[in-house]
Amino acid sequence: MIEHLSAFVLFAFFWAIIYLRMERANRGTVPVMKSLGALDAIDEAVGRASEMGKSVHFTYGKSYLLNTEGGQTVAGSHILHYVSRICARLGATIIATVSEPEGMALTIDSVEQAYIMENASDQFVLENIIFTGPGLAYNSYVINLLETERPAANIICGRIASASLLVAETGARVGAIQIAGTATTFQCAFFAAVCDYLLIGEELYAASAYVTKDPELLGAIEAQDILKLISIALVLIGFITVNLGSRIIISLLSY
Amino acid sequence: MVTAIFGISMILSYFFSKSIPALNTISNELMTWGKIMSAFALFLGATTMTVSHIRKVQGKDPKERFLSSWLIILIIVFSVAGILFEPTVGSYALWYNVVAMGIGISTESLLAFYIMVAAYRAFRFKTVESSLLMISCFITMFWSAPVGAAIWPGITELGNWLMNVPNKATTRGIILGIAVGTISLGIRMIMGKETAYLGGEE
Amino acid sequence: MSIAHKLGNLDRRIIYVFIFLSVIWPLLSPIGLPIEVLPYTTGLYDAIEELPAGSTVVMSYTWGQTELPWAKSPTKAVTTHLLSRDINVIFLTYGVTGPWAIEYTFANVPLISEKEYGVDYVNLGFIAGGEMAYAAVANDMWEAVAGRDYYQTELEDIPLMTNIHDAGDVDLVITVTGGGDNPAGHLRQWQVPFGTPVAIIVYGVLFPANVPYFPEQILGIINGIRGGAEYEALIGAPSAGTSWMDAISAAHIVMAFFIILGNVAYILEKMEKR
Repeated sequence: MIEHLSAFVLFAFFWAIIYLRMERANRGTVPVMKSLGALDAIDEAVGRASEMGKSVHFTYGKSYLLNTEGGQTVAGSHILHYVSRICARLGATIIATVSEPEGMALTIDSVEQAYIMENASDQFVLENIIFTGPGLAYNSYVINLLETERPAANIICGRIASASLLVAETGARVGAIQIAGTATTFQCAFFAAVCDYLLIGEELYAASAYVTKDPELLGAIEAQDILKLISIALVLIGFITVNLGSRIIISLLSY
Repeated sequence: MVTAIFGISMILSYFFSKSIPALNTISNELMTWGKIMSAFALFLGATTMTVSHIRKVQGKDPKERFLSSWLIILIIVFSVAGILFEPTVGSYALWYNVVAMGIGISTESLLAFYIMVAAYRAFRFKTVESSLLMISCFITMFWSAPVGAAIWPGITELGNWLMNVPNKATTRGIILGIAVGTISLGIRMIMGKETAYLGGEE
Repeated sequence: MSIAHKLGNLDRRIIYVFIFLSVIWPLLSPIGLPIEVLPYTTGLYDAIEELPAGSTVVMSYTWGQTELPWAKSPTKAVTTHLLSRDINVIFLTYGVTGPWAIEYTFANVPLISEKEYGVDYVNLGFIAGGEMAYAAVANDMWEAVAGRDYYQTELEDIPLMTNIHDAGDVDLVITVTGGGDNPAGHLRQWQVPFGTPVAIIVYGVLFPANVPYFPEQILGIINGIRGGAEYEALIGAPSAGTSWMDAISAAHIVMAFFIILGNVAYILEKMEKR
């Protein structure tokens, strides 16, 4: 009747945990999240930009929305909204570069809403949300922008590919504080070498909950932690049973 | 609502397609719609790019006006030529290979120079983490180049261990975390709790 | 300004010159260092050797001109191996520059001229949609390409496609990609539902991220130029990959030199401050 029964059971269980935790947070029991160094550094970075009279550059990398990596763009947009709010509050200029057309509406909305919420809608400049085009056009444009604009802060949060080192190294060369976050694991190594602060993998998703302070999002992050603990428990039980000569866990999970 | 219906249909088709064949038909149809939308997204990209540069042509900066005009001319010429002529053979292919390939490979090759400078600047014995990063960089560099094995044959074993033990372990942990995060995001989107991708309210 | 400070803050253009020379020199005057073949490469080689003649393999491309330097050698070597064993190959692509890459493969694999299009190999062209496209092709290949190949020939007129309708009819899928979630996407959409074996040819940067799947889920991982050179050694046809490995060796030595120089300068500066 049900194919991939174990996957179905796990999925239903995951859904239940996420839903229950989100509802619990909605009703008032909001989980407390530990601070992420990279996000606390955003205030410092934008403050520095404001004092120096320089801009803040934000980019996702590839701003896909239509595929499995769209989640990173969504998480990045929450961080962009947060950065924009601080920029609006402190009077710093934010420049956002977008490589894919599907990310433009999301980016414009994130920044514009931030300025409206800070009662600074007159400071919002649409021309600072730049559509660069994908691939090499994006790489070339961002390198040129960083070299000419010389922002005080360079924030890279999203799904980024080969452009990671091009953007990060150029940012380091112009003396910007660099904050990066990506779930694209193989790019984390470059960011770790070049950037001042880094969000690795799932921290990007957690960061988007941290900055929005949305109870449901925080509840979902708590649910993710519970699910990870369950996964770790399954791995440990499997490890022990396999070493004792039993493949029961493997059989159950493959059913 | 649309997200929820489409998302739930795809999920149910994965688990019930053999017992409810109609779900298979629905999911195949949705995938076809998705492919069509992706193709239109490419078209949207080209159109947005052209419109963006047309605005720059109408602007005041002479450098931007020149560069944007040149780009629009190239877009029109290559589009018309690509439609009229076979795009993968003949002079169109020659132009495309010479221009696009040359620029593309040159830009990507910048990475080699950037990596070198980044490594020189960043890999110092400042902290325990940066020292570990540097050591693993050395091992990986000499493991992946034949000169490493020529200098010291044991580097192959050490590199294999680095890939198969610490790298595998940490990458599996990160993959697990990202997978849980992605499932959570998908479930929130289906439940309508995540609307940022629609340009929703914060 | 002390020597230590100068050594630790060299003008980057000096570094650029050194790396340029280190890459150019071995290309002009090759050394020919031996290349040890790693298990990640032999995994794919052995999998292809075990396939009987007449099997069907899908080569899915997500690369284009910018990935040519690292993709050229492994794709040529693997395609040559497949065709030499009379294995039928279905080429398709999920990237916009993929059709160019497929045509490039046809032009650069000499064995292709001895094979018959439609019988021994076929080009299904570009399918948009990312992971949706992988799933669509895996579920119903004919539907995914609208019943025609890249050259608009009806699939009914292509003998190779007669018995190939979904991923279950394919004996192996080899995905060539320069980025993204492509390898894991193929595991999710091809291997888990249909049990199709998966192997990958990837850019060097993607290699560590895909090692966790080896060897249980991904049969073999060809690691960019190095993997291409190893595969060329396995099939006894040294080509571009083999010749470029010397340049890689030289570049890595230069990189190691500058890292050591930077650290020596850093330590000397610290001693001077004390």
